[in-house]
Amino acid sequence: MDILIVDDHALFSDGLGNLLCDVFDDAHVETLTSGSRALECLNGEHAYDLVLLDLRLSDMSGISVLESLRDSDVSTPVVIISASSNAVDIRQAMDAGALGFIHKSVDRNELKMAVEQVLAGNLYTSKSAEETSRQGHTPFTLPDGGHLTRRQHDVLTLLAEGLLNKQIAERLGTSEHTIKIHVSAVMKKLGVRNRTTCVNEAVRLGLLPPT
Amino acid sequence: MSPTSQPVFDPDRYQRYRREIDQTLVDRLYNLIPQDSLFYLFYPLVLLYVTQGTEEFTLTGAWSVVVYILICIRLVLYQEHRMGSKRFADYRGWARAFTFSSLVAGLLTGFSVIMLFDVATPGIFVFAVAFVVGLMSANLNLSSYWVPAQAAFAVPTTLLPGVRLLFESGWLPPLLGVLLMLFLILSLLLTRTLNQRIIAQIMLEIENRELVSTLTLERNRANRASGAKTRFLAAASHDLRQPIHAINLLLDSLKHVVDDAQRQRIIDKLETAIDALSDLLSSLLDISKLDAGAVKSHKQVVNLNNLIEPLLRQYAEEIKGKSLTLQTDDLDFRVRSDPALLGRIIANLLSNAIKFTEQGFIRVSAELIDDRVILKVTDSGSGIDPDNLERVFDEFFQEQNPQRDRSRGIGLGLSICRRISSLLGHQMHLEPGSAVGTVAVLNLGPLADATLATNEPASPAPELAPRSLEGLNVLVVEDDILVADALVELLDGWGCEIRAEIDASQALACIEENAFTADLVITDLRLPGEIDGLGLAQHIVDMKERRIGVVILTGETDPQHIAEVSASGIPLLFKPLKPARLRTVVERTLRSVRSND
Repeated sequence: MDILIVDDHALFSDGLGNLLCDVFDDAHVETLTSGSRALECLNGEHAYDLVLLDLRLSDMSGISVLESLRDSDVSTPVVIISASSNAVDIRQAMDAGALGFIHKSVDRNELKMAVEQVLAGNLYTSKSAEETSRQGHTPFTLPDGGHLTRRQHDVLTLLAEGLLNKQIAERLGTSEHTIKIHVSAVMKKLGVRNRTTCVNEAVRLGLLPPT
Repeated sequence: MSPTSQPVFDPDRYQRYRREIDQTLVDRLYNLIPQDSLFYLFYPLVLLYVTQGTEEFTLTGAWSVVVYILICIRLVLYQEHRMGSKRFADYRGWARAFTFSSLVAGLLTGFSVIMLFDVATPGIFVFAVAFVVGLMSANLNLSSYWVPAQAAFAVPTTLLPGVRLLFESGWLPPLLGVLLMLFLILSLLLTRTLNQRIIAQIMLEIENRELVSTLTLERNRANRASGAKTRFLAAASHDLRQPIHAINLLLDSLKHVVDDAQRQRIIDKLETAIDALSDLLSSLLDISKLDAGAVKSHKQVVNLNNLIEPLLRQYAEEIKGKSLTLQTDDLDFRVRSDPALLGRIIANLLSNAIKFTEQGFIRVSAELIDDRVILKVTDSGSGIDPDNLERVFDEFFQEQNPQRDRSRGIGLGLSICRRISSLLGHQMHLEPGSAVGTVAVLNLGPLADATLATNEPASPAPELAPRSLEGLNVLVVEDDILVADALVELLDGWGCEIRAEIDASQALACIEENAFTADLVITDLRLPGEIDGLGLAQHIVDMKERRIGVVILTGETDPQHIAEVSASGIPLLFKPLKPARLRTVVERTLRSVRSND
């Protein structure tokens, strides 16, 4: 995993880089101090998996870096890492296309979680993390910590009624192919191979009411 | 200022400073008495010399005695005034006394000329008149300080001989009389002018004095502030150095320690030192933000119960750990305040109360006193020396911590509380408890109008703009079930509504028949059937009015294929799919489709 850290405080970049290499075995970290240099690198041949960008750089603001990236065809995901916890700064950064906003006081666990969340395609801000933990788990949590999405649960419920993919598609107003994909995802998550055992397992895990 | 830079008399300003100016004028008037008296000392002697051997000598002698008595009285008054005697209530009394004495002096002088009338040889008479005129001219400059006094002297001095001269025979004496009266008028006018000039001068002095005293006040205030800042900096840097020294020492020992357990202990201590450093820095930052006015309060109706209850839960463990009892009264009051800032104050007071109480209780109570909501945090702790009840609000002041032990805090909490409370307009002070401990008292102002919108329950966190993909309709065109699986799972997790199709013609049919109003199409580059992903994408781009975004996925490595897609300007993502990258591209594509009007 190639990570680019852009921060004009070399001391901090080094510390963060060390921590990242420590947390992620496959992490390879490069550090830069200027925004213009970062834009050059990102527009170059090498594809990074993640950019950790400070809001205050020597030559330009992190927001302008984000905006330049948005107008280019560089699709590298960017997470802002800042000493600010100001709601306005967070909002500006997220509006400009950052996928995450991490405060510089971040610890090992939060850093790991934030990077994983963002790489999984979710948004992460320290605030949103607080909210999620307050809300607790979704109702469809599985023993391994994964969970079914709302749509997958709908499909599972109809599956338990003994409907075929085509019938489920009609009920939910979508294509058969879509349902096929949902069903295969549910079966994979429950670790089963066919539709009957799938329903039984779901009942056993309390995802469906006993029949 | 006039062009000649001569002070100008301004009646309005005179009225404003009248008391002070008149006071100064009278003071100067009295200071002139010795000089004034010198003139008088010689005049009787001259007259006595002239009249010796004549029958007027006796009269002149008596006159001289009266003159000398008057001089003595004036000198006594001068002395008394100088010593600040309270003979007269204020400057007006002293002024009247002076004016009266001037009247007497004027009458005596005027009389002296008439007295000589019958005796004198013309030479001596002319001398007397000349002397009187000279006397008045000299006096003019001196007693222009007080116009009434000058008038009281000048009028009889001139008028008595002047009128007497009118009744003389011949043409010269009446003419002289007329001239004397003209001289009187002129001298009175001149007195007035001089008087105004003197007043203007005094006004200028008063204003200068006021300016200087304002400047001095300002300078003293600036000096005090700069002194406070210097002390603050000194204390701050002293306290900042402590943990840094500690860190240096700990790092040094860490280099030489091999034992794992000992190493861990040192690392724990390092963490404590760094925590202390970072606490101190963030408190300093808070103070500077508050002092710079960078913290804004957002007042709303706050229900104390809703605000304080979560705080109490937060400190419950600590209270239980020290075996203290927590007592709470009814806190069901609504006040106008900023919930986040008020919460910080109360949390700080609670934490202080717990820190300084070893046994007994912590009580949080509120009551209505004189229509004001008074919140009290009471503890049964060691209490504060009554002399220090105000000083504890000073930065870095810690009553019971001469060794500046970190675990007892850094001595900035109450300074921050005081700043926040004054920002919110809540008065705050500490009182000794009835028997033991301390009471922190916070005046939260009147009860808030219940009809106003409230923040129940308190939620201080500002809204973060949601940027969710929830409800986005995505059409996935992918024949590889494994890839489709992963893609649908990801999109489903984002809350998107998904429809999957196997090939381009089905996808196009689905869009054209409005079976699914897609916001976004994610298609594989290689598709079964006649139309490939690029063809499908171009079809969709052509349906501009539908405003559908397209993203192409590919596992293709053939440079020519890739170049073809790149040339079309349609975003291309490579497999294996990276969720964060997909999200970045999806959001960007949607943004550009939606903004293209």
